[in-house]
Amino acid sequence: MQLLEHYSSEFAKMRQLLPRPEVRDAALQRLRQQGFPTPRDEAWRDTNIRSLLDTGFAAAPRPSQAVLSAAAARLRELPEVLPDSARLVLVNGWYVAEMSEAGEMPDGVTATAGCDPEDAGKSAFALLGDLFAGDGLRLVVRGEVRRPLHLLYVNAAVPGPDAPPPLLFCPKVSVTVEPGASVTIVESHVASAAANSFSNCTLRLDMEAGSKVSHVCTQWDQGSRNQLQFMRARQQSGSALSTVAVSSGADCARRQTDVELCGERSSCQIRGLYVLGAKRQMDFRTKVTHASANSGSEQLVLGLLKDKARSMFHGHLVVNKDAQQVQAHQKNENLVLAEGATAGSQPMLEIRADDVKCSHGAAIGNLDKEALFALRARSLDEAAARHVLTEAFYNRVLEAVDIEPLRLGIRDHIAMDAS
Amino acid sequence: MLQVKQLKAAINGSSILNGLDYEINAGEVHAIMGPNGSGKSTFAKVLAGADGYDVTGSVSFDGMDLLDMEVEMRARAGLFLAMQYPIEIPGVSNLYMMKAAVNTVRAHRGQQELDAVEFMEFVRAKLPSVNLSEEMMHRSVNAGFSGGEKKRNEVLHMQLLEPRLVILDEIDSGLDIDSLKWIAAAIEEARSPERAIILVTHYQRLLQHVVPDKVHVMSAGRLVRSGDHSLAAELEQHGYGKIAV
Repeated sequence: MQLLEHYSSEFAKMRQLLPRPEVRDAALQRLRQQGFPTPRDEAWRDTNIRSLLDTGFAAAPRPSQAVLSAAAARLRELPEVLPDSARLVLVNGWYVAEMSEAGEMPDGVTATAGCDPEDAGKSAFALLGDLFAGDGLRLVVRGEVRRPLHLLYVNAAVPGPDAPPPLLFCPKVSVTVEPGASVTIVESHVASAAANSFSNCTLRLDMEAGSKVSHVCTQWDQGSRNQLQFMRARQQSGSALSTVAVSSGADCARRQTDVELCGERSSCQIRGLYVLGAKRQMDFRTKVTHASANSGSEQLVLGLLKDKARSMFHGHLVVNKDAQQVQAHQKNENLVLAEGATAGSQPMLEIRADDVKCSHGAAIGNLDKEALFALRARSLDEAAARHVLTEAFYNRVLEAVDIEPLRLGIRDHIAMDAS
Repeated sequence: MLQVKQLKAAINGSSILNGLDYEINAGEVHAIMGPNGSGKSTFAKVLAGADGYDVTGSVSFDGMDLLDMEVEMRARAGLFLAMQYPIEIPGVSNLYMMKAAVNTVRAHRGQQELDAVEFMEFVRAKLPSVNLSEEMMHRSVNAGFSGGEKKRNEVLHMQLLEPRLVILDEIDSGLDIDSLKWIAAAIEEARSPERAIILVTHYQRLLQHVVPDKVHVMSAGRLVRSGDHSLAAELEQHGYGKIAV
């Protein structure tokens, strides 16, 4: 109850500063009715939400010039992994046109500030996102866009005499990909300046008939202790989505990918990789709904865990009654490299059509001893052999990243994390 | 080159090698034959340093205490084992693995490492002899290879690493006639005064192409008989029953 009061009073302070306050009143009302989950709730027990419930975060206001300067400085430190891309920058959840290449968007792309709140199936944290989201970003893509769109989420605070309050960031991006259009979208979450913060991100993709999206999301943010990511895609006929999410987890990390295959011959390929060390955690969830016949989905989600890390994969696959001739395959494999680490896997298949090909598989284990021996017997030392096999494991996800500098950048990050 | 004395090996409490004595010199080719379960493969694996065995006895390799060395140090010192069942390593390309292996061995020998171009040339020169394609080098180790291709790939690894002591564990099992001939020719090619080769096999078939200097028969974890290559023909005729008691 205390938490609800905290966010109600936060909202009351900020209401007039936020775009479209009337939409937010409804979100607050729903949040009040619904309340926050407890750590024991079925839907949240694999996400470490304790600090989300114990901390009253302050919603990040529209960034000041000082915050923007800090964010710009942070961006300059980053290695360039997408040499020929169009940058779109959100600072503390707010779209900042002047830091983006808004005037030089590739032909066929329009980028505007503002993003409508989500509508269906809201969790309390998603409602919190609706309540406090700043100016998000709305993208419309027409035709074949060759330059990748690079979404950079930068969380920054200005150092002052007092420690900044724990901040809540709620970036929201919606992308409409028009019929036959194609685009590559890369999301990078950039380390936060605030020690204890809460990133609550939403990406919505509306893919019209025959459109193609290649999407990559990376999150190495080890400063932000709490990371909730929600991605929702709706696909019309003949559209094809490839999405790759790579994450190093957080104290509290959860990624939910929901794909609804609404049109015939629509297809999605979901790749996920979490590389977790220390006491970091990841609750990786997918929900793929085959609402139409002849649609296809393929999921490969891999976990690499060390130390006392903890992960859970929830793979929910739904095939509706009339969605015949569907092919849906789901795989989750976990490499658990330390005794203190734990990985879990929970596939859930709801198949209501009778003429479908569906499969799922889950594996949790250590490196293959025979493979280690085979490599050592060819002279590689144990550390090198382990490295080769670990890299081979996660390369199955990384090979889905077409842009080479990006793929190599991710690989370097993982090598650092996995060593 | 290799002296084995009173070698014993047990796995999960059951003993497989029971005081084996053996010796091979540089320049020699030996065949070790024997029925299933006689300990041939265990002997090969124990020499290479496989995990899981309780091993006693002594093994001297070029004057070094082999049993005291890690798996990779044995390989670097020039011991090569072609596995009976070469495993698939998805995601690790043949070329990548072998380049790493060859350069590790070269560094150990004080030789200059090969760059990508030099290594590719080195591999290309060997490929025809084992009838493997360049495309297969870019694939994951043994992934999607036929039984014969896996064995030929093991022989290719031998050629690339230029070992001192070669142990080929049932390199002839599951081979068609052509593969057998390629492999036999590659072994003949590898014969050298500097190198010792041990062929672990069930059958005489390979030994018709590669004539060994000595044939040993193993039974219940010991060598029970040794002779020249005519012993292999004798075994073929009478089976192991009479000899390997």
